[in-house]
Amino acid sequence: MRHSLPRAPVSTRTAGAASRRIAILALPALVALVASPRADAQQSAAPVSLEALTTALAAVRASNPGVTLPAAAAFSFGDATVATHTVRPGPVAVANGAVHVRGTVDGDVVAYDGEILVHEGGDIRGDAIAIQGKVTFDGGRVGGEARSLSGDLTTAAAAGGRARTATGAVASELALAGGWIAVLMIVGIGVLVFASSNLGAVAETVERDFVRALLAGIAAQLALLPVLVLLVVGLALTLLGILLIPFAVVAYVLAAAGLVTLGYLAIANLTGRAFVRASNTDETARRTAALMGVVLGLIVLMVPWFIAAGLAWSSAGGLVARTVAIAVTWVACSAGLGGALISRGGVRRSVAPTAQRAMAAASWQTPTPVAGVTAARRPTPLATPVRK
Amino acid sequence: MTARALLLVAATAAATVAVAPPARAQHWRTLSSSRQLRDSGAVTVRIEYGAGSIAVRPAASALLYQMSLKYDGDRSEPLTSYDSARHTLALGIRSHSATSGRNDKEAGALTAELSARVPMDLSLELGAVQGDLQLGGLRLSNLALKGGAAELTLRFDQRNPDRLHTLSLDVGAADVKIVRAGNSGVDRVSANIGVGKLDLDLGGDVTRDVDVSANVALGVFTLRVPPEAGVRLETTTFLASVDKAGLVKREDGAWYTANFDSASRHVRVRVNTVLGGFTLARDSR
Repeated sequence: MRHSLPRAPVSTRTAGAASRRIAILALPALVALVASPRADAQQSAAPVSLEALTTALAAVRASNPGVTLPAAAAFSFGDATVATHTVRPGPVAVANGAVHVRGTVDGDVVAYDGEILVHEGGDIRGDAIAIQGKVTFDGGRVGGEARSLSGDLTTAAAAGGRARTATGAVASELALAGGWIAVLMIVGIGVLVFASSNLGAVAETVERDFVRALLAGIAAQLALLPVLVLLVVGLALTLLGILLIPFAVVAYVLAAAGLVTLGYLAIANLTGRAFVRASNTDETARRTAALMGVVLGLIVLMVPWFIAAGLAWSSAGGLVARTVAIAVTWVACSAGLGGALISRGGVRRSVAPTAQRAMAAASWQTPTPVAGVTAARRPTPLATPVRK
Repeated sequence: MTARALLLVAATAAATVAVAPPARAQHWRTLSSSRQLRDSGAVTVRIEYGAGSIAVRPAASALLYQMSLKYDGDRSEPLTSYDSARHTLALGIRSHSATSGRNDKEAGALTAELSARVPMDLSLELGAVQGDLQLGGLRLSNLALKGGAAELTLRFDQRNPDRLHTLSLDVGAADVKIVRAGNSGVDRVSANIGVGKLDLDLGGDVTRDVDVSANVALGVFTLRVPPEAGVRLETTTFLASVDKAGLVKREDGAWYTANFDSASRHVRVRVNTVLGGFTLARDSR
């Protein structure tokens, strides 16, 4: 049975240009394979060039990572027979033909677009792999696995992430980072519209004492789980509260996530304000500056992730960039969470310590006598009697 | 919002759309894999399958296994590995995508035939799959099932030539029905049920006493026992419903069927449940 030629790889972006190139190069080779007349296995004349066959096998190999194929040089074309009472070293590789095994093959037998028949007395000590074909047991034995693979085998970027091309990996990571920034911007705009004062308060808190906010955030992260456990235990002890446990857990998680998000957006706002001049007089200009601050801040905070996405093709570079991105994000989230907690979710605006000291200073506390203050009168010659 | 800000947001959205990978086409492949039986040594078999339909049954021929797979090559890759030194076999599909095949127009499928000639420890790790598993006739020593969100029926239509020491069931949100488990010659059943349903029928040829222990969270556990078998039931419940109809409480605090002392075979059941349900039925199939 002849199968249709493998098509060019499906033009998904993840497949990548490299995969497409391989498949395009493979096409002429496979056309030649199918069009070639069948020849005896002993004949060495190959209908296609070694280079073309190599390219074709690479395409199949790339799309089927579990299959171990021999090099193109090991393939013969047309039907092949391993005669009775003979021992041939493996692999025996045949394209466009059936392999009749009546003797022993010390290794694998691979058939591309052909059948492997293991006749009585035949013994394959390795695997029998038929690509676009099948393995038929006719009284013989296969020491390893008998595997028949068929269907659409042309996608080079198959098997999920493992066989992803570099271009596909970068595109996928960029899409992920882009998706995150889009979601964060939408959330940020929502927060600016509905909880602008809370966002501002959290940002002020972080700005006032970043280290304190960061430490508070780290402490909060460490306390998240124990507090949740305490909450659950406390509810369980009340017996009736047991019914509330699922709701309490969900509410707790949502609250924590909300605080982290608010804090992260506050950090973004703070970062973005470095690039935007705020106006204290015009309300519209102030709101625009706040929006621009959040947007620019998010872009700045996400830059490490985009760099990591761009380096996804490199395992070492990608790892370093990703580590940096994780660290930046963690610091932002931690400080933001701390700021959100200190400011009670932006409800409480803390006053700067210097301002507190100034307000507490005695110089501001001018006591007013109960009887009031008599206005001083400037002595004038007329009003002041002259004593003689 | 100024025009500049709008432009910035729009550009970001456009960039996101531009770099987002398009919906990938499915590339369906079929794989037939088999391995001839070499010796009669016990084998440990693990079947992993995430989404699609599954069928397992005893092999008719002299094969260790015969597996047919239909899978999407873009989302998953077949799993066939055999360690001849350790006699361990792994079959199934490893998914690279969280997308469930159940919502696709065309779903994947796995059919595995396992040798009935060798003793076997069988482990099934299944996700969102639907299937009918005919395990009767297999020489099972231990059987473990993890079914995340599966809809499964396990049948023991024929007797297990060997003794099934442990039947371990981990039913998360799955709906699992086990039919004629008495034919499996099971000694001990251990079940953990999350929010799913487990219907365990101990019908068939119950040749020995069976211990059943179950932890039921929010799910439902129905145990079907042949009328001729005596049942002893211990329960620890909290806000859960346990049907004890036909049972009599004795001094040790456990509940017994009237024929417990006279029965030749006994089923001892221990159920812990919170907000779940347990039903003991005397109408095994």
